[in-house]
Amino acid sequence: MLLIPIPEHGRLRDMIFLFIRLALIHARVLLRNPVCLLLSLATALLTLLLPLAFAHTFGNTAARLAQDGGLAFQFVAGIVFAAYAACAITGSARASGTEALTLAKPVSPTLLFLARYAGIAGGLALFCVTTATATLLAMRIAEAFSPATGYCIDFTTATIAVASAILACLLGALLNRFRNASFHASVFVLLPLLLIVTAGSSGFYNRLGAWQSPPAYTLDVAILTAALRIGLALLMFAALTQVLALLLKPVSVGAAGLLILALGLTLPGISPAGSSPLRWLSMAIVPDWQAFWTTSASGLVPPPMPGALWLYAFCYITAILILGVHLFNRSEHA
Amino acid sequence: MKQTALETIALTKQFRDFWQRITVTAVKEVSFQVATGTVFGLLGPNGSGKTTTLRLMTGLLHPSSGCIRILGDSPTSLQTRRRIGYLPETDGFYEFLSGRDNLRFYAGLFGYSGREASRRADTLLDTVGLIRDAHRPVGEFSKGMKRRIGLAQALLNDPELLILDEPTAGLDPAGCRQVKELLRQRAQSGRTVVVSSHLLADIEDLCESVCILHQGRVVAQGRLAEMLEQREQHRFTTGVLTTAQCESLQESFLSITGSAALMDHPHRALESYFTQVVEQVGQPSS
Repeated sequence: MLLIPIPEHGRLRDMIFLFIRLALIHARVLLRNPVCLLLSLATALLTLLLPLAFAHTFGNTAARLAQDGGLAFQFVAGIVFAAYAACAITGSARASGTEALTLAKPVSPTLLFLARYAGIAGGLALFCVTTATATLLAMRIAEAFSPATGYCIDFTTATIAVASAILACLLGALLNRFRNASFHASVFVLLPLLLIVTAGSSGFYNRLGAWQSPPAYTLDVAILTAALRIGLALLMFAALTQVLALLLKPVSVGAAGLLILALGLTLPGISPAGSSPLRWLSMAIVPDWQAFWTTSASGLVPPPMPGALWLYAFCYITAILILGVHLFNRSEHA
Repeated sequence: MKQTALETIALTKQFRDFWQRITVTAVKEVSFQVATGTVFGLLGPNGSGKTTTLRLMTGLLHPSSGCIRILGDSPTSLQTRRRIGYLPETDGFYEFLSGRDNLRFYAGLFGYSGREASRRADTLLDTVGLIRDAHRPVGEFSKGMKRRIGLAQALLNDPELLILDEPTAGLDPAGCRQVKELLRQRAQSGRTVVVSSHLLADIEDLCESVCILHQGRVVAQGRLAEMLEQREQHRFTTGVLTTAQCESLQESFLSITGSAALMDHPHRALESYFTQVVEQVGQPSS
């Protein structure tokens, strides 16, 4: 039996519109969630302020520590974000009755489940854009040497970046006051936009804040590929927790998620090295998180790695979602 | 002979725990038929299996055994869902969206274009008396208003079969009357309505036939008029009589039947009296 029926001619367009409609409403529910905003804002601020707190660099450059710190924040907070989003979206749809009412309309459970994942993935993508931009800015803020300025922390960028986060909150409050827009959703969307503007404007001044024209960028954009790979790992975790949320209560989802996370971090160490069938089997069941953490060696990874990772993540997410669709189709929605 | 819009045959629903042990049998061997163009009532005390039966009808729950045919098809078929309207016990609205946007969203699930969805939303908001509150978030609505907008969403696709779980719960008498009038009109236009309620007056006003459930089993079913008719008694209704006429009639009854007849003034329904009083107070004095 096909889980996703092949639509009749002319119905495909309707199905795509329906999918987009459902994904958007789930993304809206997620963006309005104060916990998600709190996670995004806290991670961005912690990442931005991290370079100001370094007392010792342990032989590394401050930028390198800021980079690793920012990516670690993205991974850890992202794991919490993904698990919370999956539980909150699934739980609220059940509790409010929107799931039952949607399924009482001509909507297939398969489409609803996949659209829900797309909505969560959208929120997660926005979270990753925020944290990746914050990491990029943190690396610029971190103490560094240049012939023109000597060793110094870029307080100008730090000030503008933190101010942009505050500005996002202020604009969110204004939009809420005058347009009745959701404060949480507005800030969630404005924060990455303003951080990107901050990153874009950072080329117009040097580390001491003096104007420079033409603009000279010192942002290490290679780090974005590492952030993207972490985002990919988070998408895998979101799929996993969304399926777990169908079966378990939120606390149990958190515990099971943590167990899978821990297994994924330790299994590569104890399973046979290389590409033995046993290693592939273990990676097929428990995601190999280590494979996504490849920022050592100056933040760049060997060229064949990303392609294999994309394929691995795609296969894993597809398999998990097929399992989820199967469970969702079998489950009752009262 | 009317066609059958809905039929359940030996419908049973058992709920199970994690270990697949049966925790409760909510519906046991329930069989009934609903004719097209009628209003059918599901009656029963709390926990009798009314809501479970309705959820089985909409395909949200899967029967443990037995089967349901809705408009000649399975309730899980998307084609069937295109032809039915459902008002659940809980509201099922996005509380941050306005009433109009909620209706537009649910209309969109039927594949209506933006313009058509807006047209249907506005028409139904007017029908249920919420057009003035169309732009308020549903989260700010009272229970009665939520019920009204719930009814509006159930009517979005002009369904052939309307399944309503406690449609008048939380409504004021005027609202109840409006809803009942709306449902009567739908039945007159050939649509079928299935209503679940424990408000006996509503069911009595609305339904042509009923099914009474108790502990998941059908304990009585049939045409309401036949069920309530007391064939062992007769009643005559006349205009106002004088005392002498009453006494004369009593004597006649006594001589013919050998026993005295009960004679009193008929009572009107409280709902009708209440509505009249409220309407009189609401009218501006001339």
